[in-house]
Amino acid sequence: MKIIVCVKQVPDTEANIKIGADNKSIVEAGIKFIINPFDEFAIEEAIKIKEAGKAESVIAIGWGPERSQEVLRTAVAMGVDDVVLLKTDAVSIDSYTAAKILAAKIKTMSYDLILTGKETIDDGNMQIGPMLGELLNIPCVTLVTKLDVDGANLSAKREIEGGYEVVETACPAIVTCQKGLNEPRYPSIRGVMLAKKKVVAVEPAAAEADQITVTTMAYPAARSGGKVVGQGAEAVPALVKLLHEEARVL
Amino acid sequence: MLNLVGQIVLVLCILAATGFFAFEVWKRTRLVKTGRRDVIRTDKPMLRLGFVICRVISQLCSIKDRPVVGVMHAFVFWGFVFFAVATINHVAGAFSQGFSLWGHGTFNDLWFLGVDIVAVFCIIGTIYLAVRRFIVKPVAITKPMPISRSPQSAIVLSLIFGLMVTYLLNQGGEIVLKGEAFARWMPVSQAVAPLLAGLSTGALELLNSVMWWAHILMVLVFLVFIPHSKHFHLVAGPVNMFLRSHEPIGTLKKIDFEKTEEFGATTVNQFQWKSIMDFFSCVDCGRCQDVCPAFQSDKALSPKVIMMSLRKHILHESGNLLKGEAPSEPIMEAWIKDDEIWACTTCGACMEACPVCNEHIPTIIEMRRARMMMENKFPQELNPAFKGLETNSNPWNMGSSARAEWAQDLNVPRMAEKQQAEYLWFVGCAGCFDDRGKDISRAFAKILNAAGVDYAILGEEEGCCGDPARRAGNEYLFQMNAEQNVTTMQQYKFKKIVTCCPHGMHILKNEYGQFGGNYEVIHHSQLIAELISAGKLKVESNGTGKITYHDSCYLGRYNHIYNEPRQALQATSKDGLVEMARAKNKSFCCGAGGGRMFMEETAGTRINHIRVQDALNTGAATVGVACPFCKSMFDDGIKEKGLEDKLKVLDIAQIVANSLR
Repeated sequence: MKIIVCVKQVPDTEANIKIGADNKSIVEAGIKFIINPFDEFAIEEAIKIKEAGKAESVIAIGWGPERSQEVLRTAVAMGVDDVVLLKTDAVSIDSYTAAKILAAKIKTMSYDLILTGKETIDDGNMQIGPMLGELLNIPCVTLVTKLDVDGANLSAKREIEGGYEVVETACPAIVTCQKGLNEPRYPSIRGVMLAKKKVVAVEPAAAEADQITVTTMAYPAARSGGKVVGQGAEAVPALVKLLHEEARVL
Repeated sequence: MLNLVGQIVLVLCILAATGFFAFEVWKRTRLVKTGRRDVIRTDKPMLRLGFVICRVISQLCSIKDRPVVGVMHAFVFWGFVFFAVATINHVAGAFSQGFSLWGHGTFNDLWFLGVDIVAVFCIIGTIYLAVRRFIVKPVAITKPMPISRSPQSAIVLSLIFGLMVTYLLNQGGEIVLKGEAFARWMPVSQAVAPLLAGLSTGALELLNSVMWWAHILMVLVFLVFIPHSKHFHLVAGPVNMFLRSHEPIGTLKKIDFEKTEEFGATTVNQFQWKSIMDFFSCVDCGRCQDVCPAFQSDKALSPKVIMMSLRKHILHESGNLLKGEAPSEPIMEAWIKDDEIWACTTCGACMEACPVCNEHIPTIIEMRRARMMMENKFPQELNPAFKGLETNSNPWNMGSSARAEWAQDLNVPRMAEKQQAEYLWFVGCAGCFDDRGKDISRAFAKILNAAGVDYAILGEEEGCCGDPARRAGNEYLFQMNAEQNVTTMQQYKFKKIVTCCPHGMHILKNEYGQFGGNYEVIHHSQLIAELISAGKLKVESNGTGKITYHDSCYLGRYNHIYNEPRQALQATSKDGLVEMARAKNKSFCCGAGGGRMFMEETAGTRINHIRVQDALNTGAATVGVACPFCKSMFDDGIKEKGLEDKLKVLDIAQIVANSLR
């Protein structure tokens, strides 16, 4: 079995995001970029399948600007066999464009399973997995928290509202990974040293024009402080009233 | 004097025993040499020699932590020294009648007076040590089984006892046979003589001959036995003391990632040669485990077991190693378990207590390094801490842009604005991100501003000092942190660095030099004490009850700073300072060092609970600490034990800031 993992570089979850002067993009200076955390689950799962002797190769494909090479190095350090970066000129592209450039590359490769995150934490569209399935004409299972593969078929446990379901499908298929699937490993230092020397193959991506464009970005409203209702037992009725009527959680 | 046959038998026995002994010593020396050779320990030879002589002759090595046992050990040790000469005479006497190494003057008489007396003390010593080992059975020498093997000690104690008895009986017999004049200076032998007076001359001669042979054969058996037992410390111990480290306890060596692809010790020959020397020197006395916070809280770790298991392991591999081949198996799992190496808090109590100057911490860290960097096997809880250090340069993985948020509403100058200052205040991760640590930073800022100190912080430019990464074996990540900080600090001019965290202080002061960062670094308690004594800080004594002070490992044992924190606290307390039973260099760790702050503590009892109990026993109302990690551990321990109304914990900076006039 051959596995392809799609990974994206995103701003760190703790980064202090500033909106640029154009009000349409973020300021990159001072931002730490990391591997999309959901893609990390995908890499870990692919490596685990390989370690279990069920896959012969794991290839990670990244997309985005030149700096995205770094996350591919992380993937190498974690244990993937090879990487390729589909380099785009634009810093940010929409999901459909991304799915199309990924599909164009993947069509030239042989594979049995594609793994990627359920979403990228920067744009959060949750579209690339399903779109890729459509473009490659293969089944897509989303939000997977447990995965079993046996070469020709896969069985996946996926989150649904209020519970879970277990689904089966034939390979090749695409699976989008959700938290709970595994604990991504910390790359071994030996792996990090190897990855430092790795020459990342960079291919220009044939990206078409975006169909969706960002027109405005804005900060969320500043969080208002908490409210002190009172102290001790006498405050309870007022608190319950507020929770019921204002917060509507009771 | 012996007849020719006797002489030939004796010579053969001596050659066989000494040859065997020499071979075993040679084998161990070669095993030591199979280790890595980055450590150099032959500088200042006279200082080293002086240290060994003073420590060995005084027997302070043994007496300092266990006075009674130590004195008994001293009796046995002195028995050995005196008897060495007696044994030479004994052997030479077989070939030359009446030979004496010291001649036949008064000195020789005095020496044999010494031998006579020492023999009695030596017998007392062996009986005491035997009773202790086989009847009293203290945990230090009997646990954990099966590593401590009592039969070894039984053999050795019997041999020493036998040597004394055979000597005295032989001398007693001689006195009866040859008369009093021979033994003017031998009161004990003289006292033995009457016991033998009833025997016939033939019987006496036989007895003497038997005792003579028994004595010399015991000496030779002892010689053969020594290398195979912990009693090899007779040879290796003093050598190991000579080779001791002159750096602060627990200081770690740099790995040159350009030069090696094998990090840490996966196999036993990847230790530094000095570590292997340590394995052969271990006496199995258990002083280390008596003071080890991990062992005392029922974790899997005992420092002496680490030493003894690795000794067993390297001897087991000696065949391969001496042929220049790789060991047949790795250290971990077969000889040492993960639970052992990850339980270490790197507090240094073991190294402080070790009578033969073993260095347990570097050995444990070498195994962590291999586990972490080569095999990726380490406690999972460290994963987020490492990721945090990598992306945001703090182990809590909070946004690095929020590093100076604690100082927002305070008047704390930045290096970027001032460019130079007398003190660069390296705040550290705990002081920047941990709520309890931030309180310390705010208090210290108040103090610095009140005293008008010329200082500045690095703000967002500061990164983690790297201590948790280095102690947890992630040298690569530590070096990233260290190099970044050195580069940042190069931009600015300052005279000294001051830190609120002993971990940052130690690593900046003693380990950043490996990366070109040579600084004068002081701890905030030192600066506070100095400001108070110079009259720049006006404090008034608060009547808030007695204070006890908890010595942080990295401040105390690592850097010998014991007085300044106490001076600062004394200036603020009307009710005075009370000491815990374990204080100063014998202080008991809070449990957070060595990266333990970021690991789960599931086995045994909690270390911080033990230390909170120590503080509670003093009757003090406040524990003064000098480290943000100690503060967190105490705070948690006090809450978990429900002692909030009896005891509170505050950093020295907080206590002083509260008493500013």
